[in-house]
Amino acid sequence: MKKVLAVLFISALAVLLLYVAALLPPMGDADNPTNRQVVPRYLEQGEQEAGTRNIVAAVVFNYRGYDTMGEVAIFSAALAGIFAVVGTGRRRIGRALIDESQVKFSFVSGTAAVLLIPLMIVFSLYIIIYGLDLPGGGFQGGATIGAAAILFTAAFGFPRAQERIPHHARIILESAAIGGFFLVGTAGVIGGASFLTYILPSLPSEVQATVRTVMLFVLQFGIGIKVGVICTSILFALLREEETEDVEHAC
Amino acid sequence: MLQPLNIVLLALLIITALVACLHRNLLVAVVMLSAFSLTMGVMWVMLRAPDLALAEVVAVGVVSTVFFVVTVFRTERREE
Repeated sequence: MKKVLAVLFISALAVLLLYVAALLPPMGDADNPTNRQVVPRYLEQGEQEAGTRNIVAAVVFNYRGYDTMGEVAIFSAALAGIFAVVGTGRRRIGRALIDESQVKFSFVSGTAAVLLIPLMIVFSLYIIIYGLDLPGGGFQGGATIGAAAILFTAAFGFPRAQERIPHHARIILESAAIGGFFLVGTAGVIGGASFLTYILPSLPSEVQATVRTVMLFVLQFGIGIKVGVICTSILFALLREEETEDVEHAC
Repeated sequence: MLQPLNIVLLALLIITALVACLHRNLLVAVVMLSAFSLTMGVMWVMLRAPDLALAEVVAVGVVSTVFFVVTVFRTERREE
């Protein structure tokens, strides 16, 4: 009886979903509303309306600012969940299996890491700073910073990486990043503009464009720092061994 | 549209995706997933989406691959 009910329910749901899917406009049709109205508007007026030459950045920060805000909140929630499950490791410098490996880290790999890490950080800053004009942006730059942190950990061992990128610094950076995002987003609300439009109505109109660019820079850097810190924190949380755990079987 | 390079890339995508799904050794599967995302990054550049290519290569190809590798080493190397 239960199975029959379940099958009936799933069939009804499938019929409903297929019916709704059939009502959608055909995929890739040039006459769709997205292709007739949304895309031309973004391409023609994006630079003027959003203040960025990179249309992707215009969509991410202005037209779809709420999605970006939700992503930022999801990153924070994910980090909080990981800390809740595996612990923060705040009190001591943890150990990790990679430091007990039988295979020594070779001289060539170490030198390559030393040469690569500064380049990666410079590249990530470059794509964050030019994210408003060129391809790239906060997320990509932040992920590159995270990759640099991963390379540092692999090259110089887990304890040293924890010393260089301590827990309290990561917490402060992460909180500053998400706080900055919401502050910048709400700044315009006080003057009467909408949320996440990056306009301060009380200022004269000549400086509005500059103010908006500065605000978008703050957002880019905030997202970059946030993603980099979260990548590093997740790596540290995954690597850290509990003192009481028997490490023999884990290899 | 179907240039030779496109065909090669699409074939690589299918092969790496299938190997990543079917291989018993999870480390091989993770490396294949990384190869998939690097190939996909090239595809994004050819489709004129460099933003997406950067995100794909860095976030999926490097960072989550490292997370998967760490997780595989802390759990079981082979699928049951």
